[in-house]
Amino acid sequence: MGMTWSWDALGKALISAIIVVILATQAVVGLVDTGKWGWPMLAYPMYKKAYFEGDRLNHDVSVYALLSDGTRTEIKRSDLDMSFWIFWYNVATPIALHRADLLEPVVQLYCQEFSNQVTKLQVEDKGVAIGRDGPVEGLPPQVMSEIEVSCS
Amino acid sequence: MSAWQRYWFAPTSYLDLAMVRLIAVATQLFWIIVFAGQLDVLEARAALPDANWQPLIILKMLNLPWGWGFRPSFALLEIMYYICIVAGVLALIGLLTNAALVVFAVTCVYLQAFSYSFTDFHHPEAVMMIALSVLALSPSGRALSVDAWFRRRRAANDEARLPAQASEFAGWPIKLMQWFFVLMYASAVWSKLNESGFDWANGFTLQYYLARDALRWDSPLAYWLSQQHVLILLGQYGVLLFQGTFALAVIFPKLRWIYVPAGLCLHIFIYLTLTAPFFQWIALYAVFIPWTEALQLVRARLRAPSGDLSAPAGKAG
Repeated sequence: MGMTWSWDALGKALISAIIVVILATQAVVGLVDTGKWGWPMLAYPMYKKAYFEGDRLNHDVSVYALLSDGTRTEIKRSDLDMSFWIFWYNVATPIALHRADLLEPVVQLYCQEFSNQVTKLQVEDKGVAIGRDGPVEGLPPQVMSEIEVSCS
Repeated sequence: MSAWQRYWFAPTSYLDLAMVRLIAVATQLFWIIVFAGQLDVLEARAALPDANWQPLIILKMLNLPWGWGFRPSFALLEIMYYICIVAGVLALIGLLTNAALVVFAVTCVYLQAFSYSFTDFHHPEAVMMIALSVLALSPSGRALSVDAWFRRRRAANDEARLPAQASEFAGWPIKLMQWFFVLMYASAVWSKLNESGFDWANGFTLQYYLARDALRWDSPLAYWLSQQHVLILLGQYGVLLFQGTFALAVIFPKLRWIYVPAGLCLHIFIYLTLTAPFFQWIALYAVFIPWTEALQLVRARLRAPSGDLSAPAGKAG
């Protein structure tokens, strides 16, 4: 009986420690937001940013390679055989974050195709804003971000 | 006995825990085999260049036997995927339940962590990883399982050895996951208010997200809703209220009659309009349902003579 009691007590002590660790970690990570690094302990900041009337939608973007002669050519995700999110996080987002190191595979590909003439990569929106009565479409596209790149 | 022990280790029916196991494992199997098509995702991710490789800390820890910088090949991931499926099926039917759940939880965590080691990540899966890990440490195979069937058969000739229906160790995983939901919703509401204050609930915010996802994923329902400013404004206040007060559903179980349907509606609405598939969250709402009481109520009603539906529900063990 004594042995049973001690196994139960040990089990409860271990489980109590697990409960405290999991809930305390989630509570801290949930407030501090460490991004994805603590996964599966995460903050839940989905849809946290406030938007206002007239803000431009970023539902999709166009990505362009600018050449030294002033022309530009669109980098389509179908050309790179990428899904929406892979293209979004590995091409569009690095341009916005000015992370040229993450863009090397794409830059190399387009430098080869355009005889080392690529000077910049550019992200442009699709010309849609939010209004009181819903999306306002047909606006002129705006450049969201661009980054200088080198083919050398 | 301390209040802590009375709360976390109150005798709870094995059935309640087993139902959570069944729903959680079935949902996870559906997710990786059918909905997410995880094997195809793994193959695509494995083909990405090292420049995109940003391994999560938990993946690095699981990879420690092979070295801190180890990057698994698709062949290894494929083997792990099939081990995961077999373990999941065993956990579902409840054969060698705890061992199967340990393998299922570890392989699910590993494969999902690998998928999220390439810049992007999403939020639905994390809570399921916690739930599966916790279930693996619990007596979730003591009911609705092949293990339980064997146990009952062995004890059939000796009534004194018949397995118990409840245990002090059957309730803590359920309560842990209930509080985990509270913390997830608290994080969600804190993120919104910390980033934007009450400006977040201005109507335009959710209109923006609805319009963005309507155009991105071609959703007519989301597009229509993005045009309803007043309705969306009220909805945003509702979201803040729901997420900010969800702890009440754990503290006062009767309020689950409000919070559970509201939460299910919220996540189904999010899926139908914003195309964010939080199936794991929907499935894990199972931790808020008193399955034993519900089944006893159903049985009592089925046995009651026609017209007499006032039969009392038994108390859960």
